[in-house]
Amino acid sequence: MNMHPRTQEFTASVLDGPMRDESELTAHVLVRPGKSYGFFTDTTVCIGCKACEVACKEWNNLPADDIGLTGDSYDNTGALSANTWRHVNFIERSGDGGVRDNDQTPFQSGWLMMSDVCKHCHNPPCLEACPTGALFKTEFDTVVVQQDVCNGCGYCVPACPFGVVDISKIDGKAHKCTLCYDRLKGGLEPACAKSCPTDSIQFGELEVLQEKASKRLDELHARGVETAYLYGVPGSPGATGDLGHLNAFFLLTDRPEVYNLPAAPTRASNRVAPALKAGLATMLGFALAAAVLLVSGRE
Amino acid sequence: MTEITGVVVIVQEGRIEVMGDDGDGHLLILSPSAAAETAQLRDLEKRQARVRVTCSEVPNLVALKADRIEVLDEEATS
Repeated sequence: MNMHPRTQEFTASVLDGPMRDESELTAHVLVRPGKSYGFFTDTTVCIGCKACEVACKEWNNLPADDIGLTGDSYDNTGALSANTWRHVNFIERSGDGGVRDNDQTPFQSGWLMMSDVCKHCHNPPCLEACPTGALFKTEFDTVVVQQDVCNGCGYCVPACPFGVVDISKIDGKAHKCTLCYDRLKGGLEPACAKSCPTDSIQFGELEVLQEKASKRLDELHARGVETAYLYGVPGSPGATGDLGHLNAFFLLTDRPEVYNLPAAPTRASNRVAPALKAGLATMLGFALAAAVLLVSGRE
Repeated sequence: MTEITGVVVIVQEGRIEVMGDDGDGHLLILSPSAAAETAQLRDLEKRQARVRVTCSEVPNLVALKADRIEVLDEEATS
């Protein structure tokens, strides 16, 4: 077993305090301001254990909500919300290769599982829509809502092409994944990635993660999983419409829509100019029509 | 409306975990109508402040809404 040499520094059963740069031991990455960090979620190794959901709720002190059976496979959280920042999708496919088929394929069978999260877009539409500056880019290139600045206007909610940001009905403010901003500042790996038993969720520097993902993709293609592709890396589905790239990107084996992801997400701000022009053209049209009617009425 | 007396042990944004005198942990969400801001809560956690919270139930959520937070002692308890 390959252990980091620094583990020898922490042999005592009880430690004096938090480990310095713990992420170096758990995720093999040093968290430093000024660098770009993110998640690589490899859905082909996700087992749907929901450890990420639980770890997220535990660390962020998020309450359970909508308790009851959803009737949607083993999904009991339903969707990302103000109180759920990690959501494990359970997608049961039918027909050939579906859940009831006798022959199942490796690397995700008839049952697709995928842990969804805020994508921490390179050009975040939620941040562009925020009138108070409550949403900001951190020193780790992640997107966070400042609770004391948010006025609950809700403009960020429709601006997000992934439906991630949500307004809490209790405090009236916007909430979403912070990529464990407080943990990053303390040199810790985000709670969800640390708890993932299969390393389906990997945390690290974005360039390193993209390289890892590319190698994993080549490996899967070599092993016959032709359907595998990356979602959210530059030049791939998910990184469309001027979003740049997604700091939380995915390796998928079916169409994005199957995972409740948009095939070609766009920035809401790209639609402002065309919408304004269309509005002005309509007003001009009405004004011209009114003028013509007025002149013809006088005659 | 119910009252919980205990020590503030965790604060995340506007969410507070109060360890009640009954030994149970209570998850509370700061109400917008409470006379407190989220930025003020962090200090309560640092001081492990003893508080009395007046709270109300929220439908479909395993948490309570903190309508009023009263700091019982200004001195640190731990």
